[in-house]
Amino acid sequence: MSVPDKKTSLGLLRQMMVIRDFEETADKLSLRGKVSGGMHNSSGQEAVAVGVLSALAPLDVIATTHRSHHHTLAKGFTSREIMAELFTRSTGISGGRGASMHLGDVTKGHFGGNGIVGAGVGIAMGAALGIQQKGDKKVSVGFIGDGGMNTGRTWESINMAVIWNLPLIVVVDNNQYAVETFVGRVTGGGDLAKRAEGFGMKAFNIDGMNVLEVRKYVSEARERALAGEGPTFINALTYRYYGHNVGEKGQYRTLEEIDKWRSTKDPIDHFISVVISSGYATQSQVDEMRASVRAEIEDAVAFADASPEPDISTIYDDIDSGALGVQL
Amino acid sequence: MTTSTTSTPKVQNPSYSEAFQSGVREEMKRNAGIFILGTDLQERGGHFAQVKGIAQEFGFDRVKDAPISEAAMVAAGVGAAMYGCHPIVDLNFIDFAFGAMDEILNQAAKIRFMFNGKVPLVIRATSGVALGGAHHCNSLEALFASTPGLSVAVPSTAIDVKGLIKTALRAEDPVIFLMHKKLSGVRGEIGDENYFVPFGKAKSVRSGTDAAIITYGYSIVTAHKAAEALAAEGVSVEIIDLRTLYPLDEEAINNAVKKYGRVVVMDEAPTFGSITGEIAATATERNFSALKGPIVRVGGARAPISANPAMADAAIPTVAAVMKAVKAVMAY
Amino acid sequence: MEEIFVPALGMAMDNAVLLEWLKRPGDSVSVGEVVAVIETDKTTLDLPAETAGVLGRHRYAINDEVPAGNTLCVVLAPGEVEA
Repeated sequence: MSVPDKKTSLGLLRQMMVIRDFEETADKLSLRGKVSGGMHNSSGQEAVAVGVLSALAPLDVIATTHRSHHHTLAKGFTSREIMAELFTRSTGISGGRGASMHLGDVTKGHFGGNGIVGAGVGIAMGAALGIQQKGDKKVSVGFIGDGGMNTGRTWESINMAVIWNLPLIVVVDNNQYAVETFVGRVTGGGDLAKRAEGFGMKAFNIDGMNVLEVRKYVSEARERALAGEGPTFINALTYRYYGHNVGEKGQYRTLEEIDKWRSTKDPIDHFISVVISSGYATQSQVDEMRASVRAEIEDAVAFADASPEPDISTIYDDIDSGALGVQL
Repeated sequence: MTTSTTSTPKVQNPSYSEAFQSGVREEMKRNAGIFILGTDLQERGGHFAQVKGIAQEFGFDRVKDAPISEAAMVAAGVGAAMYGCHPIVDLNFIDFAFGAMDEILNQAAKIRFMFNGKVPLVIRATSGVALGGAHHCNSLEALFASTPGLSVAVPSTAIDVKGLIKTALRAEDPVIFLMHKKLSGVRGEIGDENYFVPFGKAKSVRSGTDAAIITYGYSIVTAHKAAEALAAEGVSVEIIDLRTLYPLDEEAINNAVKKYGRVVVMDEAPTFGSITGEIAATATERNFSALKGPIVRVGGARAPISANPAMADAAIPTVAAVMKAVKAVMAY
Repeated sequence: MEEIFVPALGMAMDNAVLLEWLKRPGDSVSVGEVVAVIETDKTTLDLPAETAGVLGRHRYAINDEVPAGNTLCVVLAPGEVEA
């Protein structure tokens, strides 16, 4: 895997560090009741988010899942506006109406997190249809988890993307557990890429702990889509370090299993070694980067804490346009 | 312009389905972002010929044949609408929306509220009680109308079909566009290309002096028959066609209550949990003192619709039932 | 200084009831030792220390309803003093 230039590589590393620090910080704040409705921590899955989003153009579209802080940060939204959203403040990305599960800003190509498993891929597929209808040179990425691989509409959308040759990339952010259910226990046939291939989609099972591998596969998928060669399915195998939801202490996997993934496959540790061995940074420069990330997240928390609550008189705003927004 | 003589065949007014075609065509010419997707549209033109010939005129990119994948069809429309197109998703029968309920109620309806975006999307389907049995005769309009973010059109005439679909295709919001099976063949003038019907504006379709029937869709036909029969008995009834259920024309409802104090509300949906209940409750809360007696509802049975024609008819309001209801309010 | 608190869990829990103190102020505690037991709307929950040290004062009494997120007590590292 060729390593990108220094600036790009350090950017990838810093983005993964931002996600990790953001998630671990937010997790603690969530346990303290700061995050309305709790949250889903993506620690461990940084390479998927950063690998995918670093391979996209700024106005490419994404639609994602209930676990989407990492995708949203990697899309370029600030830790301030996402933390503020977790705190349901008016300065949040969704104006405080969404919290952890519903981050999104359509005008910036983020078509939303989603509280419903599988829904994001459908919306991303629709966005890809919109791109095709308008003849734009963009792609749409639908993130989905392993749990979403067993809901029927996912495959309706995959089929539709194939028959219409849409510029869609389906990325399975496969952390191996649907809440507490191991993917292998509930997935007929077992091989997700083969499933997608059965629908006629180009499909790959890849290492989702390796940011450069994810980036490479998504870059190639994007090139194909822009060349009119249709959609791609990428199953990125990764691991979540924390429970499905904040505070969960499940018995469905062993501490040894978690420790094994953390100690041998961690995407950030792995990429630090790549950056250092490429001569892009010394250990002390990596430490400085970590400290600057810490400061950024602390600032995000302070910003969120100081941000105003939404005005409750706005609960009826933006439900619809009123008279359908039509000037007749 | 001169018209010629006897050899010219009499040109029929457009049908309800042709009115839909006409409105869609006019708007598709104006807005390249409008496209239609659904099953069996390109050649067949839909089960009710509602888009017949449009694929041939505008090309197969703007009338797309989809697999029978309701969830993906609506999701495709939602995502494309968010992206800036104005899709029409044709679900054939509204009963098929059950396969796409999350996409409609939970996604399309809520995006504007949370994600700084718009969802200009029309979901067209044929609705209402006719032959076809329990799986093709659900009346789901109250479900959609009660979901924040959705608008619901229920035209009863060709001109309203055209005027409402043209408005829907200029709107920013998701619209559920319900066309009644038994109205497919009704014909009428449809106005010119500048004819629009605003949402949330009911229309008085028969004037009266004694009482009002408030209804929509095919029930307008039943109401007219009842009103004719009542006129023969000396009772003069106004009929108000709601045309859209959300936005609901509360002003027209309140005015009817204030004018007559005697109001019947009618539709085909099971009375339990229906729009008629919403109208009766709202009107009573707002103008209780103007009422001479309770608003009487005439609705469907809380029963699946049978495929047996007589049983199907027995589950929805009859002319006799509407007449009885009007006589009941007249008795106060 | 580690704060032991009532965790905010799920979508509806507002309060927990403090069922039991297993450590008194001044007791030394080790990592993983349960300090208090609370009852939420779903379950009873052991609250262990995540650091070793000496327990600070009890900020709530048995049977108190404690809002989610509130601190029950602290674990003091050597040299630390409770505010």
